Amino acid sequence: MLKTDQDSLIQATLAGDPQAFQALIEPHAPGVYGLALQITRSPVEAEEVLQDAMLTAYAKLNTFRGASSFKTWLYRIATNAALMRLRKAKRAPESLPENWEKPADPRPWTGDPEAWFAREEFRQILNEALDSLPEIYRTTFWLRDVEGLGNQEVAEIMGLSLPAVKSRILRARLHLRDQLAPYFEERLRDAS
Amino acid sequence: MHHDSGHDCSHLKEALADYLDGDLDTELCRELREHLKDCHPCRVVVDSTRQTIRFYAEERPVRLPPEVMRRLQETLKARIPPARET
Ligand SMILES: [Zn+2]
Repeated sequence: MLKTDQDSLIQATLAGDPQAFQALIEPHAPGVYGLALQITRSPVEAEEVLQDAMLTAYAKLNTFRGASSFKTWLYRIATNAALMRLRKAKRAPESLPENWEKPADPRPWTGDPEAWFAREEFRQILNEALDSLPEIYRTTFWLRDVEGLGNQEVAEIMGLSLPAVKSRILRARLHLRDQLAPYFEERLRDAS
Repeated sequence: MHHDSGHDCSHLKEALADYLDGDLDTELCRELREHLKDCHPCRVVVDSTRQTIRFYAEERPVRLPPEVMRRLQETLKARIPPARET
């Protein structure tokens, strides 16, 4: 969405046009839902977070100042809404060991990745690897590498320092790499 | 990072985050790039991590179900009434 379109939709919403608000948030709905799903890991909760976040955004729209992008502002609202639910569900504190051990004998990934894309099995492998990450790593990775946001924007949304974001993303990327490796590493004659 | 020859490349791990983000200008990144030329295990890890990132970026393994979108629209319609005509 062009920034000017977005600005005029915001103005129209504030002037009392609910359809303008629908048009404003619709392009962001898939992103907000995806983010909520990373935090909650529950489709039911993610849908509730999606609705909560959009209603909160509507209620608070007059406080949006344009210091960050509308997307960053909206994602921050969604992150807070999702974390609030997690707290209610008493989430266990989770972390990854700070030090990542390089695999002893990493093998190149072979095969044609193009053949994997858009297959249900592939999607499932990617999601299972995400499941094995603690929430904060998963969310940071998702915002950075799936949503394609910059490190600084991720820091704003997550309320983390820039170095914390960078180290979490690296840790998440390496962990996911390790989880995917068995599926994509070249196969050896490992019967021996 | 470590490799079998006993040569220690663990300090280069700090450069890995920047390297994967394409910030290649720091001293450490230049060192890492040089190192990758002759350290096979490190190269494999960097390449496969890049592939990992690409897999997620391109596949985006979450879809917004159409019925979730429809229910969101209904909720907004119900909770945000149109401005009253004057
Ligand atoms: Zn090495």
